Amino acid sequence: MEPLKALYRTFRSAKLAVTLHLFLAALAVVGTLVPQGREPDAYYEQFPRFWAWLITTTGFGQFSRSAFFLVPAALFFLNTAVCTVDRFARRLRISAPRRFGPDLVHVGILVLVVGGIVTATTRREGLAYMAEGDEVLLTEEYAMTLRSYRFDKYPDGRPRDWVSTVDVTYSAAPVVTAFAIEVNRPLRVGGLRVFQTDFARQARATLLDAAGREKLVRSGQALRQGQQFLILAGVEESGRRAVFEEWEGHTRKGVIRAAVSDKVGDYTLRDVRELDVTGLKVVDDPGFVPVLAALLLIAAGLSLTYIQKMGDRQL
Amino acid sequence: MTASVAFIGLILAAVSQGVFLFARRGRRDPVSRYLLLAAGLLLLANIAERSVQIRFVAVTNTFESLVFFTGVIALVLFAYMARSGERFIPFVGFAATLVAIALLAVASSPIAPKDVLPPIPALQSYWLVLHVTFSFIGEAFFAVAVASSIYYLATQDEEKRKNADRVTYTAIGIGFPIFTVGALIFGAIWAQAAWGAYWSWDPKETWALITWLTYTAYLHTRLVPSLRGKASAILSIVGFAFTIFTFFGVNFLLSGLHSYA
Repeated sequence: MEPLKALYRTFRSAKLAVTLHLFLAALAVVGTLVPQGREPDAYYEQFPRFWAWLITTTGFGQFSRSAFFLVPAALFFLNTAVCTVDRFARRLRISAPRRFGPDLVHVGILVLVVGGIVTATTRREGLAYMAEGDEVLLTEEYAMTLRSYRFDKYPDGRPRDWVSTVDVTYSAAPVVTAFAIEVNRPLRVGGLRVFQTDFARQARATLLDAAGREKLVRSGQALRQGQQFLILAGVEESGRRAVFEEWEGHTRKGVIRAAVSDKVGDYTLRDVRELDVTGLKVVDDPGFVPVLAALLLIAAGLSLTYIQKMGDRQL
Repeated sequence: MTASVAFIGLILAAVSQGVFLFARRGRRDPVSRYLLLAAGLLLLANIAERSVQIRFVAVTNTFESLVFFTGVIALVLFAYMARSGERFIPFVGFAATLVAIALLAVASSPIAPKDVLPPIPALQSYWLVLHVTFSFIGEAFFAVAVASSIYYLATQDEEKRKNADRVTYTAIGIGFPIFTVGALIFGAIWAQAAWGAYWSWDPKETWALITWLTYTAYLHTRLVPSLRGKASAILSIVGFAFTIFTFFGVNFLLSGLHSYA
């Protein structure tokens, strides 16, 4: 039992809390100095060999997912949990005025970490670029159609608003009609949220295969031609010719410029145009609800502590 | 114009505080608190004027943020001076006023364009307004704390140290919850509404977290007798350095979602 008691004493220690807070802060500082989410080669190009090796072997290129961060974060969680239980138990035993504000903050932080883990492991998102009339499937049952898209500008040309008006159906039955999605005004439907996040000009080419079937290709999408890929790179300024890049593996072999009726590999180009498209991000994040609950707990705990300390004339 | 008058007011306040601090020790400075009050109100009036012009709360660019931050520091200092009376530490007022002057000097420099412009779509949110205003109100108390921490480390008198330690603790005790609610809670809610992600490890977010961790560590040092005093004063100074880096350093050295702020 003695080793367990010693472990308990260690984890309820405020000194350990100070150490872990500062260690996590120091790690986070390094995390902001190392560019995140790059390929290993990019680190060898940017940093001296030793530093690149260190970054790639420690996983610091994905700081928040590296063991260097996750292990002290786990200890921080344990420290907070033990402190919370210990504080709460001691508060119940003493006869002095009970101050539960810090306990609420600690519980909030624990729930926040749990919510963060749920987000990190279950969050899904997708980005859909849609022109007016386009439909995307949000889930197997939910389908969203873009009714209209508007880009408002201030007189000086700066963006004022992007508005994507959508309809949503559930198994073909309308559930949302003409909802205007704007930045800071997402659509909530079927447990999903749809955010206005981007806009673009998008090239679209309609091709016919040998059997006369239509195939729609958008900017960046590829057509497979044996060992080669034809990627739609854009539309010429004249708007008359589509530009395809020919790729074999990682090697670009050349560029094909095709007008309507021209052959593109095994296909015939039927139509080419460039459209304004809206970028809508679809998010499914089961972690947000516990995170929101955690934030409310922390805010409540801080307010309670503040009010009680003011009452005690400690502040 | 109002910001320029406020700037002069702050300089006069610093001069008055400096005179009473270095040349007329022991006597109470009768004017600087009113100069600080006037400067703070003028700076907030400047924000109000710009808000009317853009039809939104004008805390959406670097200039406006700095003007608001400086105004709040001036008002917090006034409140401290008025409330503490004879117990107020003149050095704290002087040093924090210098911080306010430095911030307003940056606001008047070319790195903070003064154009009165309505906000871009991502900034058209009242969660953003709460995020920015609460963060700066909390940080204004941190400015008082850094001044008293410097005083703590500079003085040898145990009684004065005790007083400085109390000022640091009360300033962080008030500023920390406001900063937490503003920077982390309202910030997360705004990010969720604007981008669909309450946390993105964006450099500004991460530096706000680093600042928060540092001040949280400070509060925990109060529970460890061996860390109370010097170590906590150092943490308070480091915390304010991180606060300033989060505002300026990240904007100019690290890129991310907050590049406009």
